[in-house]
Amino acid sequence: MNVFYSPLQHSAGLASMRLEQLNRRYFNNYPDAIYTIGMDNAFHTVNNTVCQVLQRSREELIGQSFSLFIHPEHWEESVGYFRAASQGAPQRYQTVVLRENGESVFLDVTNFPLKVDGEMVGILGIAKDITLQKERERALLQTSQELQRQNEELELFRKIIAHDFRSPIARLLGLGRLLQKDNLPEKTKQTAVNAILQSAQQLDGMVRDLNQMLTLHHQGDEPRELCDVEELVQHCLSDLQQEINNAEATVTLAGSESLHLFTVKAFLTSIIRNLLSNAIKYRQPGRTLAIIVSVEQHDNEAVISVADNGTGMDLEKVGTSLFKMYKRFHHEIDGKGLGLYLVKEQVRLLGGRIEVESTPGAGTTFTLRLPIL
Amino acid sequence: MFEKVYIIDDDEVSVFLAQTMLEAEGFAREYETFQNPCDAIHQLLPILQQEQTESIPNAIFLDLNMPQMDGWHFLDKLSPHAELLKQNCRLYILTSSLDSMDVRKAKTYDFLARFLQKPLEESDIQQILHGLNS
Repeated sequence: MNVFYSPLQHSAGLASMRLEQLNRRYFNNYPDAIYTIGMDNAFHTVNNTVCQVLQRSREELIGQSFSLFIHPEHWEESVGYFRAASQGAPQRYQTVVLRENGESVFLDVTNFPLKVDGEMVGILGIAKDITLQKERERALLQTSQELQRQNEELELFRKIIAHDFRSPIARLLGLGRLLQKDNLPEKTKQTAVNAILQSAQQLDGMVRDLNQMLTLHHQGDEPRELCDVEELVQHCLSDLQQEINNAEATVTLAGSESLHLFTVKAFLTSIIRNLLSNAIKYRQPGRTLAIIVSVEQHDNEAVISVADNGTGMDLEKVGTSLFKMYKRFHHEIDGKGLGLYLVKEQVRLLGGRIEVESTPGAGTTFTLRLPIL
Repeated sequence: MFEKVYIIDDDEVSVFLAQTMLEAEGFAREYETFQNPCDAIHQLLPILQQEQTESIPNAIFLDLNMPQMDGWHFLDKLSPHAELLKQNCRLYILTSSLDSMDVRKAKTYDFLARFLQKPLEESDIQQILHGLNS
Protein backbone atom coordinates (compact mmCIF):
# COMPACT_ATOMS: atom_id res chain seq x y z
CA MET A 1 0.00 0.00 0.00
CA ASN A 2 1.29 3.39 -0.91
CA VAL A 3 1.45 5.96 1.78
CA PHE A 4 0.98 9.59 0.91
CA TYR A 5 2.31 12.18 3.26
CA SER A 6 0.71 15.50 3.31
CA PRO A 7 3.20 18.44 3.48
CA LEU A 8 1.74 19.48 6.78
CA GLN A 9 2.62 16.20 8.37
CA HIS A 10 6.13 16.55 7.00
CA SER A 11 6.96 19.96 8.43
CA ALA A 12 5.55 20.07 11.85
CA GLY A 13 7.47 23.34 12.52
CA LEU A 14 5.53 25.25 9.93
CA ALA A 15 2.26 23.93 11.17
CA SER A 16 2.99 25.23 14.58
CA MET A 17 3.42 28.75 13.27
CA ARG A 18 0.36 30.85 13.95
CA LEU A 19 -1.24 32.58 11.04
CA GLU A 20 -0.78 35.94 12.64
CA GLN A 21 2.94 35.36 13.00
CA LEU A 22 3.15 34.35 9.34
CA ASN A 23 1.29 37.44 8.32
CA ARG A 24 3.61 39.64 10.33
CA ARG A 25 6.72 38.09 8.81
CA TYR A 26 5.24 38.36 5.36
CA PHE A 27 4.27 41.97 6.01
CA ASN A 28 7.68 42.99 7.29
CA ASN A 29 9.77 41.32 4.62
CA TYR A 30 7.64 41.92 1.58
CA PRO A 31 9.82 43.59 -1.13
CA ASP A 32 7.32 46.43 -1.66
CA ALA A 33 6.56 49.06 0.94
CA ILE A 34 3.41 48.20 2.93
CA TYR A 35 1.88 50.47 5.53
CA THR A 36 -1.31 51.49 7.23
CA ILE A 37 -2.31 55.07 7.82
CA GLY A 38 -4.97 56.15 10.27
CA MET A 39 -7.73 58.67 9.68
CA ASP A 40 -5.41 61.27 11.32
CA ASN A 41 -2.98 60.90 8.33
CA ALA A 42 -0.36 59.33 10.62
CA PHE A 43 1.52 56.12 9.88
CA HIS A 44 0.16 53.33 12.04
CA THR A 45 2.28 50.42 10.85
CA VAL A 46 5.13 50.30 8.33
CA ASN A 47 7.11 47.34 7.01
CA ASN A 48 10.90 47.19 6.59
CA THR A 49 10.69 48.33 2.98
CA VAL A 50 8.97 51.59 3.98
CA CYS A 51 11.94 52.28 6.26
CA GLN A 52 14.40 51.44 3.47
CA VAL A 53 12.61 53.57 0.89
CA LEU A 54 12.37 56.62 3.16
CA GLN A 55 15.69 55.82 4.90
CA ARG A 56 14.19 56.35 8.31
CA SER A 57 13.68 54.11 11.31
CA ARG A 58 10.27 52.78 12.29
CA GLU A 59 10.28 55.09 15.34
CA GLU A 60 10.78 58.12 13.11
CA LEU A 61 7.75 57.17 11.02
CA ILE A 62 5.06 55.79 13.29
CA GLY A 63 2.71 58.52 14.43
CA GLN A 64 4.02 61.00 11.81
CA SER A 65 1.84 62.36 9.04
CA PHE A 66 2.61 60.63 5.73
CA SER A 67 2.49 63.98 3.92
CA LEU A 68 5.74 65.03 5.63
CA PHE A 69 7.57 62.64 3.32
CA ILE A 70 5.86 63.53 0.07
CA HIS A 71 7.71 65.73 -2.41
CA PRO A 72 6.14 69.23 -2.11
CA GLU A 73 5.22 69.24 -5.81
CA HIS A 74 3.10 66.12 -5.29
CA TRP A 75 1.73 67.05 -1.91
CA GLU A 76 -1.66 68.31 -3.04
CA GLU A 77 -2.53 65.40 -5.33
CA SER A 78 -1.29 62.81 -2.83
CA VAL A 79 -3.44 64.27 -0.10
CA GLY A 80 -6.36 64.20 -2.54
CA TYR A 81 -5.79 60.54 -3.36
CA PHE A 82 -5.47 59.72 0.33
CA ARG A 83 -8.74 61.46 1.10
CA ALA A 84 -10.49 59.54 -1.68
CA ALA A 85 -9.14 56.21 -0.35
CA SER A 86 -10.13 57.04 3.21
CA GLN A 87 -13.64 57.72 1.96
CA GLY A 88 -13.90 54.14 0.75
CA ALA A 89 -12.62 54.12 -2.84
CA PRO A 90 -9.34 52.24 -3.55
CA GLN A 91 -6.79 54.45 -5.35
CA ARG A 92 -3.79 53.75 -7.55
CA TYR A 93 -1.41 56.55 -8.49
CA GLN A 94 2.20 57.57 -8.86
CA THR A 95 3.94 59.98 -6.57
CA VAL A 96 7.36 61.10 -5.39
CA VAL A 97 8.68 60.94 -1.82
CA LEU A 98 11.72 62.64 -0.37
CA ARG A 99 14.46 60.99 1.64
CA GLU A 100 16.14 62.84 4.48
CA ASN A 101 19.14 63.53 2.20
CA GLY A 102 16.85 65.17 -0.38
CA GLU A 103 16.86 62.25 -2.83
CA SER A 104 13.61 61.69 -4.69
CA VAL A 105 12.02 58.25 -4.95
CA PHE A 106 9.26 57.56 -7.48
CA LEU A 107 6.51 55.29 -6.15
CA ASP A 108 3.62 53.42 -7.67
CA VAL A 109 1.05 53.48 -4.87
CA THR A 110 -2.12 51.48 -4.25
CA ASN A 111 -4.23 52.48 -1.25
CA PHE A 112 -7.18 50.41 0.01
CA PRO A 113 -9.72 51.67 2.48
CA LEU A 114 -9.61 49.86 5.85
CA LYS A 115 -12.89 49.28 7.66
CA VAL A 116 -13.61 47.79 11.06
CA ASP A 117 -17.22 46.86 11.70
CA GLY A 118 -18.28 48.91 8.70
CA GLU A 119 -16.51 52.02 9.92
CA MET A 120 -13.52 53.60 8.12
CA VAL A 121 -10.41 53.43 10.27
CA GLY A 122 -7.72 54.30 7.72
CA ILE A 123 -6.02 52.87 4.66
CA LEU A 124 -3.74 49.97 3.82
CA GLY A 125 -1.19 50.89 1.18
CA ILE A 126 1.37 49.16 -1.00
CA ALA A 127 4.04 51.21 -2.76
CA LYS A 128 6.48 49.96 -5.36
CA ASP A 129 9.76 51.82 -5.95
CA ILE A 130 9.71 52.70 -9.68
CA THR A 131 12.60 55.20 -9.63
CA LEU A 132 14.82 53.13 -11.92
CA GLN A 133 11.96 52.61 -14.34
CA LYS A 134 11.19 56.34 -14.32
CA GLU A 135 14.81 57.23 -14.95
CA ARG A 136 14.94 54.81 -17.86
CA GLU A 137 11.72 56.25 -19.21
CA ARG A 138 13.13 59.73 -19.00
CA ALA A 139 16.39 58.72 -20.69
CA LEU A 140 14.43 56.95 -23.42
CA LEU A 141 12.23 59.97 -23.97
CA GLN A 142 15.27 62.21 -24.17
CA THR A 143 16.91 59.89 -26.68
CA SER A 144 13.81 59.68 -28.82
CA GLN A 145 13.37 63.46 -28.77
CA GLU A 146 16.98 63.92 -29.79
CA LEU A 147 16.54 61.35 -32.56
CA GLN A 148 13.42 63.06 -33.78
CA ARG A 149 15.20 66.39 -33.84
CA GLN A 150 18.08 64.87 -35.78
CA ASN A 151 15.70 63.27 -38.25
CA GLU A 152 13.96 66.56 -38.86
CA GLU A 153 17.34 68.12 -39.42
CA LEU A 154 18.31 65.41 -41.87
CA GLU A 155 15.13 66.09 -43.83
CA LEU A 156 16.04 69.77 -43.77
CA PHE A 157 19.53 69.03 -45.10
CA ARG A 158 18.00 66.97 -47.87
CA LYS A 159 15.83 69.93 -48.82
CA ILE A 160 18.76 72.30 -48.65
CA ILE A 161 20.73 70.10 -51.02
CA ALA A 162 17.81 69.50 -53.38
CA HIS A 163 16.78 73.15 -53.56
CA ASP A 164 19.28 75.63 -52.23
CA PHE A 165 22.57 74.05 -53.23
CA ARG A 166 21.27 73.01 -56.59
CA SER A 167 20.28 76.58 -57.45
CA PRO A 168 23.76 78.20 -57.80
CA ILE A 169 25.07 74.99 -59.36
CA ALA A 170 22.40 75.11 -62.07
CA ARG A 171 23.31 78.73 -62.69
CA LEU A 172 27.01 77.92 -62.98
CA LEU A 173 26.24 75.13 -65.44
CA GLY A 174 23.98 77.37 -67.51
CA LEU A 175 26.45 80.25 -67.53
CA GLY A 176 29.28 77.95 -68.56
CA ARG A 177 27.17 76.54 -71.35
CA LEU A 178 26.30 80.06 -72.45
CA LEU A 179 29.93 81.18 -72.55
CA GLN A 180 30.75 78.25 -74.83
CA LYS A 181 28.57 79.81 -77.52
CA ASP A 182 30.24 81.68 -80.37
CA ASN A 183 29.46 85.24 -81.33
CA LEU A 184 28.19 86.32 -77.92
CA PRO A 185 27.92 90.10 -77.58
CA GLU A 186 30.67 91.47 -75.34
CA LYS A 187 28.07 92.81 -72.89
CA THR A 188 26.40 89.41 -72.50
CA LYS A 189 29.78 87.79 -71.95
CA GLN A 190 30.63 90.29 -69.23
CA THR A 191 27.28 89.77 -67.49
CA ALA A 192 27.79 86.00 -67.59
CA VAL A 193 31.30 86.19 -66.13
CA ASN A 194 30.11 88.43 -63.30
CA ALA A 195 27.20 86.11 -62.63
CA ILE A 196 29.55 83.11 -62.49
CA LEU A 197 31.60 84.82 -59.83
CA GLN A 198 28.50 85.80 -57.88
CA SER A 199 27.04 82.28 -58.02
CA ALA A 200 30.33 80.76 -56.94
CA GLN A 201 30.47 83.19 -54.01
CA GLN A 202 26.94 82.28 -53.02
CA LEU A 203 27.75 78.58 -53.15
CA ASP A 204 30.85 79.20 -51.09
CA GLY A 205 28.82 81.10 -48.50
CA MET A 206 26.32 78.26 -48.26
CA VAL A 207 29.04 75.66 -47.83
CA ARG A 208 30.59 77.76 -45.07
CA ASP A 209 27.22 78.20 -43.33
CA LEU A 210 26.44 74.53 -43.54
CA ASN A 211 29.87 73.68 -42.22
CA GLN A 212 29.37 76.04 -39.30
CA MET A 213 26.04 74.50 -38.57
CA LEU A 214 27.31 70.93 -38.67
CA THR A 215 30.24 71.90 -36.46
CA LEU A 216 27.75 73.41 -34.02
CA HIS A 217 26.18 70.04 -33.40
CA HIS A 218 29.46 68.55 -32.29
CA GLN A 219 29.91 71.30 -29.75
CA GLY A 220 27.30 70.37 -27.17
CA ASP A 221 29.87 70.41 -24.37
CA GLU A 222 31.77 73.49 -25.42
CA PRO A 223 33.86 74.84 -22.52
CA ARG A 224 32.34 77.86 -20.82
CA GLU A 225 34.25 80.85 -19.60
CA LEU A 226 33.48 84.06 -17.76
CA CYS A 227 32.58 86.78 -20.29
CA ASP A 228 31.95 90.47 -19.81
CA VAL A 229 28.79 90.91 -21.89
CA GLU A 230 29.33 94.59 -22.61
CA GLU A 231 32.87 93.95 -23.76
CA LEU A 232 31.59 91.20 -26.01
CA VAL A 233 28.96 93.50 -27.56
CA GLN A 234 31.66 96.13 -28.16
CA HIS A 235 33.77 93.50 -29.82
CA CYS A 236 30.89 92.56 -32.18
CA LEU A 237 30.30 96.22 -32.96
CA SER A 238 33.90 96.80 -33.93
CA ASP A 239 33.75 93.70 -36.15
CA LEU A 240 30.73 95.17 -37.93
CA GLN A 241 32.09 98.75 -37.99
CA GLN A 242 32.41 98.79 -41.76
CA GLU A 243 28.77 97.77 -42.31
CA ILE A 244 27.55 100.15 -39.60
CA ASN A 245 29.42 103.01 -41.30
CA ASN A 246 28.10 102.07 -44.74
CA ALA A 247 24.53 102.07 -43.41
CA GLU A 248 25.21 105.34 -41.54
CA ALA A 249 23.60 103.73 -38.51
CA THR A 250 23.80 104.82 -34.89
CA VAL A 251 24.25 102.16 -32.24
CA THR A 252 23.50 102.87 -28.59
CA LEU A 253 24.54 100.59 -25.79
CA ALA A 254 21.98 100.92 -22.98
CA GLY A 255 21.99 99.39 -19.52
CA SER A 256 25.00 100.39 -17.48
CA GLU A 257 25.13 97.28 -15.35
CA SER A 258 28.31 95.36 -15.74
CA LEU A 259 27.22 91.82 -16.40
CA HIS A 260 29.42 88.76 -16.35
CA LEU A 261 28.21 85.49 -17.77
CA PHE A 262 29.71 82.06 -17.53
CA THR A 263 29.02 81.00 -21.07
CA VAL A 264 30.36 79.77 -24.41
CA LYS A 265 31.97 82.91 -25.73
CA ALA A 266 31.95 81.88 -29.41
CA PHE A 267 28.19 81.18 -29.31
CA LEU A 268 27.24 84.40 -27.58
CA THR A 269 29.43 86.38 -29.97
CA SER A 270 27.86 84.68 -32.96
CA ILE A 271 24.32 85.29 -31.61
CA ILE A 272 24.88 89.00 -31.00
CA ARG A 273 26.71 89.49 -34.28
CA ASN A 274 23.89 87.79 -36.19
CA LEU A 275 21.23 89.94 -34.52
CA LEU A 276 23.20 93.12 -35.21
CA SER A 277 23.89 92.20 -38.79
CA ASN A 278 20.16 91.42 -39.32
CA ALA A 279 19.27 94.85 -37.95
CA ILE A 280 21.64 96.42 -40.48
CA LYS A 281 20.43 94.24 -43.35
CA TYR A 282 16.73 94.94 -42.82
CA ARG A 283 16.91 98.68 -42.30
CA GLN A 284 14.13 100.91 -43.59
CA PRO A 285 15.22 102.81 -46.68
CA GLY A 286 15.04 106.56 -46.17
CA ARG A 287 15.26 106.38 -42.38
CA THR A 288 18.45 106.60 -40.35
CA LEU A 289 18.97 103.24 -38.74
CA ALA A 290 19.11 103.38 -34.94
CA ILE A 291 20.03 100.23 -33.06
CA ILE A 292 19.73 100.00 -29.30
CA VAL A 293 21.50 97.16 -27.55
CA SER A 294 20.64 96.73 -23.91
CA VAL A 295 22.16 94.44 -21.33
CA GLU A 296 20.39 93.85 -18.03
CA GLN A 297 20.07 91.33 -15.27
CA HIS A 298 16.59 90.15 -14.24
CA ASP A 299 16.64 87.72 -11.33
CA ASN A 300 18.75 84.82 -12.50
CA GLU A 301 18.74 85.78 -16.13
CA ALA A 302 20.89 87.92 -18.36
CA VAL A 303 18.58 89.84 -20.69
CA ILE A 304 20.23 91.09 -23.86
CA SER A 305 18.07 92.86 -26.41
CA VAL A 306 18.77 94.25 -29.85
CA ALA A 307 16.13 96.74 -31.03
CA ASP A 308 16.05 98.45 -34.41
CA ASN A 309 13.80 100.86 -36.31
CA GLY A 310 14.06 98.86 -39.53
CA THR A 311 11.48 97.38 -41.91
CA GLY A 312 9.97 95.10 -39.26
CA MET A 313 7.82 92.13 -40.22
CA ASP A 314 4.34 90.78 -39.76
CA LEU A 315 4.95 88.08 -37.19
CA GLU A 316 1.53 86.54 -37.75
CA LYS A 317 2.47 85.92 -41.34
CA VAL A 318 5.99 84.80 -40.62
CA GLY A 319 4.84 82.55 -37.77
CA THR A 320 7.18 79.81 -36.65
CA SER A 321 9.23 79.90 -39.83
CA LEU A 322 11.29 82.82 -38.61
CA PHE A 323 14.01 80.70 -37.05
CA LYS A 324 14.01 77.99 -39.69
CA MET A 325 16.71 77.35 -42.23
CA TYR A 326 16.57 78.99 -45.62
CA LYS A 327 13.37 80.91 -45.22
CA ARG A 328 13.42 84.31 -46.79
CA PHE A 329 10.94 87.02 -45.96
CA HIS A 330 12.53 90.04 -47.54
CA HIS A 331 12.82 89.40 -51.21
CA GLU A 332 14.68 92.65 -51.90
CA ILE A 333 17.57 91.58 -49.74
CA ASP A 334 19.84 88.69 -50.38
CA GLY A 335 19.55 86.58 -47.28
CA LYS A 336 20.15 82.92 -46.91
CA GLY A 337 18.02 82.68 -43.81
CA LEU A 338 20.59 80.67 -41.95
CA GLY A 339 21.51 83.37 -39.47
CA LEU A 340 18.44 83.11 -37.26
CA TYR A 341 18.51 79.34 -37.40
CA LEU A 342 22.06 79.43 -36.05
CA VAL A 343 20.99 81.93 -33.41
CA LYS A 344 18.17 79.68 -32.25
CA GLU A 345 20.39 76.61 -32.09
CA GLN A 346 23.11 78.42 -30.18
CA VAL A 347 20.59 79.87 -27.73
CA ARG A 348 19.22 76.37 -27.22
CA LEU A 349 22.68 74.95 -26.55
CA LEU A 350 23.28 77.70 -23.99
CA GLY A 351 20.04 76.81 -22.23
CA GLY A 352 18.40 80.17 -22.94
CA ARG A 353 15.46 81.52 -24.90
CA ILE A 354 14.96 84.12 -27.57
CA GLU A 355 11.85 86.19 -28.24
CA VAL A 356 10.98 88.56 -31.03
CA GLU A 357 8.64 91.52 -31.26
CA SER A 358 8.10 93.34 -34.52
CA THR A 359 5.85 95.84 -36.22
CA PRO A 360 5.90 96.17 -40.01
CA GLY A 361 7.42 99.52 -40.92
CA ALA A 362 8.42 100.32 -37.35
CA GLY A 363 11.12 97.91 -36.30
CA THR A 364 12.09 94.68 -34.62
CA THR A 365 13.35 93.76 -31.16
CA PHE A 366 15.04 90.48 -30.39
CA THR A 367 15.32 89.66 -26.70
CA LEU A 368 17.74 87.02 -25.56
CA ARG A 369 17.49 85.50 -22.09
CA LEU A 370 20.33 83.40 -20.76
CA PRO A 371 20.53 81.75 -17.35
CA ILE A 372 23.21 83.11 -15.04
CA LEU A 373 24.84 80.03 -13.58
CA MET B 1 8.92 80.53 -83.39
CA PHE B 2 6.63 81.62 -80.59
CA GLU B 3 5.07 85.04 -80.52
CA LYS B 4 5.28 85.98 -76.85
CA VAL B 5 6.97 84.29 -73.87
CA TYR B 6 6.88 84.98 -70.12
CA ILE B 7 9.87 84.14 -67.91
CA ILE B 8 8.92 84.16 -64.23
CA ASP B 9 11.82 83.78 -61.81
CA ASP B 10 12.86 85.80 -58.76
CA ASP B 11 16.52 85.26 -59.55
CA GLU B 12 17.97 87.85 -61.89
CA VAL B 13 20.73 85.60 -63.21
CA SER B 14 18.27 82.81 -63.97
CA VAL B 15 16.08 85.22 -65.95
CA PHE B 16 19.12 86.47 -67.86
CA LEU B 17 20.23 82.91 -68.59
CA ALA B 18 16.86 81.65 -69.75
CA GLN B 19 16.24 84.66 -71.95
CA THR B 20 19.72 84.62 -73.50
CA MET B 21 19.49 80.89 -74.26
CA LEU B 22 16.00 81.27 -75.76
CA GLU B 23 17.09 84.24 -77.83
CA ALA B 24 20.11 82.33 -79.13
CA GLU B 25 17.78 79.62 -80.43
CA GLY B 26 15.35 82.13 -81.89
CA PHE B 27 12.58 80.94 -79.60
CA ALA B 28 10.20 83.91 -79.59
CA ARG B 29 9.62 87.37 -80.94
CA GLU B 30 8.88 88.95 -77.58
CA TYR B 31 10.12 88.16 -74.07
CA GLU B 32 8.49 89.46 -70.95
CA THR B 33 10.27 88.76 -67.67
CA PHE B 34 8.92 88.92 -64.12
CA GLN B 35 11.09 88.76 -61.02
CA ASN B 36 7.98 88.95 -58.89
CA PRO B 37 5.32 86.34 -59.79
CA CYS B 38 2.61 88.55 -58.31
CA ASP B 39 3.21 91.03 -61.14
CA ALA B 40 2.75 88.26 -63.69
CA ILE B 41 -0.49 87.16 -62.04
CA HIS B 42 -1.85 90.72 -62.03
CA GLN B 43 -1.18 90.97 -65.72
CA LEU B 44 -2.29 87.50 -66.74
CA LEU B 45 -5.46 86.92 -64.74
CA PRO B 46 -7.54 89.72 -66.36
CA ILE B 47 -6.45 88.50 -69.80
CA LEU B 48 -7.65 85.00 -68.97
CA GLN B 49 -10.86 86.19 -67.32
CA GLN B 50 -11.74 88.26 -70.36
CA GLU B 51 -10.54 85.51 -72.70
CA GLN B 52 -8.35 87.88 -74.70
CA THR B 53 -6.72 84.95 -76.44
CA GLU B 54 -4.47 87.14 -78.60
CA SER B 55 -2.85 88.59 -75.43
CA ILE B 56 -2.17 85.23 -73.77
CA PRO B 57 1.57 84.41 -73.91
CA ASN B 58 2.31 81.36 -76.08
CA ALA B 59 4.72 79.97 -73.52
CA ILE B 60 5.53 80.52 -69.84
CA PHE B 61 8.68 79.42 -68.02
CA LEU B 62 7.89 79.31 -64.33
CA ASP B 63 10.32 78.92 -61.42
CA LEU B 64 9.12 77.11 -58.28
CA ASN B 65 11.08 78.54 -55.36
CA MET B 66 10.16 82.17 -55.10
CA PRO B 67 9.74 84.05 -51.84
CA GLN B 68 6.79 86.25 -52.80
CA MET B 69 4.61 83.48 -54.22
CA ASP B 70 5.88 80.04 -55.06
CA GLY B 71 5.27 78.38 -58.42
CA TRP B 72 2.57 76.08 -57.03
CA HIS B 73 0.59 78.97 -55.67
CA PHE B 74 0.95 80.62 -59.08
CA LEU B 75 -0.42 77.52 -60.82
CA ASP B 76 -3.31 77.30 -58.37
CA LYS B 77 -4.30 80.84 -59.30
CA LEU B 78 -4.31 79.85 -62.98
CA SER B 79 -6.09 76.53 -62.61
CA PRO B 80 -9.65 77.92 -63.05
CA HIS B 81 -8.54 78.77 -66.59
CA ALA B 82 -6.93 75.40 -67.32
CA GLU B 83 -8.88 74.81 -70.54
CA LEU B 84 -8.08 78.21 -72.00
CA LEU B 85 -4.41 77.76 -71.12
CA LYS B 86 -4.23 74.28 -72.65
CA GLN B 87 -5.37 75.69 -75.98
CA ASN B 88 -3.27 78.85 -76.01
CA CYS B 89 -0.22 78.57 -73.78
CA ARG B 90 2.53 76.06 -73.12
CA LEU B 91 3.39 76.18 -69.45
CA TYR B 92 6.82 74.93 -68.41
CA ILE B 93 8.17 74.59 -64.91
CA LEU B 94 11.83 75.58 -64.97
CA THR B 95 13.45 74.87 -61.63
CA SER B 96 16.82 74.03 -60.13
CA SER B 97 15.14 71.71 -57.65
CA LEU B 98 16.18 68.05 -57.58
CA ASP B 99 13.27 67.16 -55.35
CA SER B 100 11.32 64.25 -56.80
CA MET B 101 8.30 65.40 -54.81
CA ASP B 102 8.18 68.45 -57.08
CA VAL B 103 8.08 66.28 -60.22
CA ARG B 104 5.28 64.23 -58.72
CA LYS B 105 3.34 67.31 -57.70
CA ALA B 106 3.72 68.81 -61.18
CA LYS B 107 1.87 65.80 -62.63
CA THR B 108 -1.26 66.87 -60.77
CA TYR B 109 -1.55 69.98 -62.97
CA ASP B 110 -2.89 68.81 -66.32
CA PHE B 111 -2.33 72.17 -68.03
CA LEU B 112 1.45 71.90 -67.54
CA ALA B 113 3.39 71.06 -70.70
CA ARG B 114 6.62 69.85 -69.10
CA PHE B 115 8.84 69.87 -66.05
CA LEU B 116 12.25 71.26 -66.99
CA GLN B 117 15.36 71.30 -64.87
CA LYS B 118 17.74 74.21 -64.87
CA PRO B 119 19.88 75.03 -66.69
CA LEU B 120 17.75 75.27 -69.79
CA GLU B 121 19.64 73.37 -72.50
CA GLU B 122 19.73 73.97 -76.23
CA SER B 123 18.31 70.49 -76.75
CA ASP B 124 15.28 71.28 -74.53
CA ILE B 125 14.60 74.43 -76.50
CA GLN B 126 14.95 72.66 -79.85
CA GLN B 127 12.59 69.89 -78.70
CA ILE B 128 9.98 72.45 -77.74
CA LEU B 129 10.34 74.24 -81.06
CA HIS B 130 10.07 70.96 -82.99
CA GLY B 131 6.95 70.13 -81.04
CA LEU B 132 5.54 73.47 -82.13
CA ASN B 133 6.20 72.78 -85.80
CA SER B 134 4.98 69.19 -85.87
